[in-house]
Amino acid sequence: MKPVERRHRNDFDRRSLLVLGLNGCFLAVVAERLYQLQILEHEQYAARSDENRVKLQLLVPPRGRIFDREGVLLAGNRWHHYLHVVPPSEDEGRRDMMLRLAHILQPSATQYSELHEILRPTAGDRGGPHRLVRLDSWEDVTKVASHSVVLPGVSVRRESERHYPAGEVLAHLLGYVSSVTQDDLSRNEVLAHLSNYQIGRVGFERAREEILRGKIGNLHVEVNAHGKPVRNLREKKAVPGKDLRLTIDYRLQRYAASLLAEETGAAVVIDTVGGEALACCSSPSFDPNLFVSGLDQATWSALSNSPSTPLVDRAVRGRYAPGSTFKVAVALAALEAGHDPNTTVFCGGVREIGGNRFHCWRRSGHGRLSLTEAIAQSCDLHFYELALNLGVDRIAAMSRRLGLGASTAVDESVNERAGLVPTKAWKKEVYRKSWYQSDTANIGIGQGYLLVTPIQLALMTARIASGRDLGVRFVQGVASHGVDEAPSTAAEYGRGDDLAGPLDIQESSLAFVRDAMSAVVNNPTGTARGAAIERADFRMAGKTGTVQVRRITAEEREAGVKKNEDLPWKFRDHALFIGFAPLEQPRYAVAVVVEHGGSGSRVAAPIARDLLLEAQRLGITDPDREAGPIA
Amino acid sequence: MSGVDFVREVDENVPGFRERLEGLVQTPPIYLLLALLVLVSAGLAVQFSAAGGSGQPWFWPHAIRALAGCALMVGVALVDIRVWLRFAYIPLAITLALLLVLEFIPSGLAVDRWIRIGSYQFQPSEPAKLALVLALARFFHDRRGRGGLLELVVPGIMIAVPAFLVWRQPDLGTAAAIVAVGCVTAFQAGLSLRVVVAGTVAAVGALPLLWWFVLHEYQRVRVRSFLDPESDPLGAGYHLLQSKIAVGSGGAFGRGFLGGSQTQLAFLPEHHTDFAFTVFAEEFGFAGALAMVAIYALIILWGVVLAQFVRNHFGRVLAASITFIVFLYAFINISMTTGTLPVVGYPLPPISYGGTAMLTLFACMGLLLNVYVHRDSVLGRRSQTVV
Repeated sequence: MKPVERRHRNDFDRRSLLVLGLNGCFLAVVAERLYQLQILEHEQYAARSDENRVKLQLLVPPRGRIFDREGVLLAGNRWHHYLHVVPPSEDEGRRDMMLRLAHILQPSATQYSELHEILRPTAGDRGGPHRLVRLDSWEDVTKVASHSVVLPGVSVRRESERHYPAGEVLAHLLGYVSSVTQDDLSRNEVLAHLSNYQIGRVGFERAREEILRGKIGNLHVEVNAHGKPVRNLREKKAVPGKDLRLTIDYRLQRYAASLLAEETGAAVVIDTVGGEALACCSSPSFDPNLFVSGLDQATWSALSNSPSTPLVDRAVRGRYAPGSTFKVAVALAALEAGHDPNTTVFCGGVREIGGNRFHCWRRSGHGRLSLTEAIAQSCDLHFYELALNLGVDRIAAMSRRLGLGASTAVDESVNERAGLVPTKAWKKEVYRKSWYQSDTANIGIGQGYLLVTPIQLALMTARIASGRDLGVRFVQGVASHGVDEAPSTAAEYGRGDDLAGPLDIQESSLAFVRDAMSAVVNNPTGTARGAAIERADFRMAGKTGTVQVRRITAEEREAGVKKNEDLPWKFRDHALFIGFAPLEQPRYAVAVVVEHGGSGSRVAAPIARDLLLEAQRLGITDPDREAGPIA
Repeated sequence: MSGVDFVREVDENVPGFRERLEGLVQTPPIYLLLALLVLVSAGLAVQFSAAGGSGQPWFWPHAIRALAGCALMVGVALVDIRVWLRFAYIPLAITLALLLVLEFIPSGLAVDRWIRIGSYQFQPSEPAKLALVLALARFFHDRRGRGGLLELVVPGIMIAVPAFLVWRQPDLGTAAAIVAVGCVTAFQAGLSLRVVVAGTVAAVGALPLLWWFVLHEYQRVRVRSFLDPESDPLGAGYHLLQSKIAVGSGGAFGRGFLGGSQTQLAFLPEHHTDFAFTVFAEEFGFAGALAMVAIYALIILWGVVLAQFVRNHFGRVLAASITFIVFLYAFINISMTTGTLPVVGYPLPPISYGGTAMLTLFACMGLLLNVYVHRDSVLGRRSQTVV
């Protein structure tokens, strides 16, 4: 080999080995990098890989249904189909998807704008999936399903939505559900991940939310890069909400609603054996279905600002002066205090108490009346006298024994107001004034500070009729049942069978008052004679009440008190009636309040009578629970 | 033993290190072929897995191309090295012609590296590297030791023209690879040291100019996203991030064949082409990935060791420079998929799907075998045939 040749060869050897060495170093760097990624940082990347592919889906269980006592569906779930879209991250992809969806679905204007909001090219990458358009027809559902190949990232999902077949008839008691609000989110962030979740807002839907909503489950789904589910990894099943069975009888409730349709007021029918609420109606009402899919602002303000306050449940939250219906309580208090019912009191139409003139509703006076007659004819002067003799605190004690001034429902299913049973101590505390005789006199005829709710009046009546220390029950029971199954039978709900114990009132006193209440309806001179039930086996007893809502001045009395019909509606008297039937073995108790209805005997009593007759006709009884003798 | 023998006896018949190395190359290149077989098998496994465990659409075409590649390799190896020496400039000329065709007959697409003939596509930028090595090897074979300006200018033109045309396509990764292959070839072939030093200084100085005047905006975005991939996980850095997640989640022994969720659930983009290595690393783990790097390293080692014992300059330069092409495939692609280099779109034959790169690799192997066969041939200069 020539020397030059050898020099070049050595050059080449050195340089190629230098390159080899460098290459070796580079490959060592590559290997080190692999070591770093796959060994040192493996856990981090494994987690991110799982983060990519595993998506947690929360499973919303179907909400428990609500039935009436006969198994009529009052609140159920309707299934709707919704379009779920994972918007493509590129503008072009979204434009393309929008075009295809528009072509396939032929969306309405509102549907189109919904789609456009998410899929417009400038929308940016929103992630997904988004619940968009509701598909109302099967045709639309099958259209989307059959085009699934050209619509990657689009799926149809079934979701339930609350609906209330009873509509306005039972709106207050059931309440309603509505979508998650910002307020809910601040309390529970998980809700943000639930599509179409609904929360009970008022009524049973709210009070029994825990039972109705069931337990949210979850599903770990493996998804591909397009967000399309590939397989389910692990699932914790959702537990469906439990069904509620109410004591309400839908037919009676509907009837009550029809009787009150033109009025503002409330009507409550309860069973005097178990204290079960059979009808609990407030008028005017609203359609709870409006709230489910989101109320528009105009409807909401119309409902919430209406002077007739349709959103208020008057039956359990309306506070009224009981008026003359309260006289039965005063009479009981007097009898329990040892008052001789045969003692007569003279009524000359007016008397002076504590410097004020107190009138009887009948300006000419009643003359001498016994207690029975005083109840039957609702003589005010007689009860001023009784009240003054008793003192307010004894009347208050009796009121409480009869269920006034406190929540009536033993199962705490409704959001009641307690009303107000005033005492001397109460006035001292609230008004920092001493109690006057005139205050006591006003209480004696159910006016003044006294406030009661219609359901309290019904409970008071039921306690008097049965002699038992009843509480009102709204829920017969709870049952676990799937949403698509038949309603549970009454037996499956389970229920407390204990009859309420006796009231702390002598039976002779109660019997006396029951007779007097019978006289109100059945005696020729009774104030509610016109509403009497002329059937020997189902006679009604009751008490009327007509409550002034304005002060009648001395000048007006001189000029002659105006008749209700001559007054503007809002100054007319409230009409009240409490009653029970049948007289001999009471089964149903009723309380009716008609705001500004005028006269209790003419307006409220016929409604009460009709309700009792309807309850009897429908045969709402419980064969297992006949009222036995009181121990 | 009674006597202490301080003088170690040297047996003249025991071969030294160099001789032993030479012995390694003297044996038939069974290890090279075995290594190639393993790589092709790995490539087929990846293609099968990337299709979600299906022969279509990639596995079977890949297999057919591998067979075609073997035939090409044998063909290239069997042709006498003197023929290759004689026609060494022809492949570069053809490649340049094809690149010019691409340059001046654009098809309207922004990125077009392909020549289509019927249903066949051909990417001339891939064989350009091999053609360049052939031409430079011939040039330095003829001119070795003469020095002068020509030694700088001619290789410079041979490197710059194809690199420029490929950059125009635009394919920065391959253009850079062409420059690297050309420079390393010239360096090994005997470029004067002064030129090497001057060139290095000039290249470093040119980097900022490169950034501002040569790189396209999308290429700058890629480089930036490479430097900070988490800043834009759904944009330019998305590919890289998903690739790193896939590689990292593979762990020591991988998620199992067909078990890589990043691959199977399509989180990894381009999983059958540029990110084929990622698929392999996800499913076969650090053990598999390291083994693959080791096999490439063995091929490179074999080629460079071979070059040491070739008795002609043409063959020496060819062997050393061809192994550098193989090194670049492995280094650029794996570094790109693991985030040590920007995502430049550089394939990894024979793992990646893509016929041109695969055939180029087999042609490289064929030439390497050719050099092996003719390692003892002494070739004269052919200066009279310099174009």
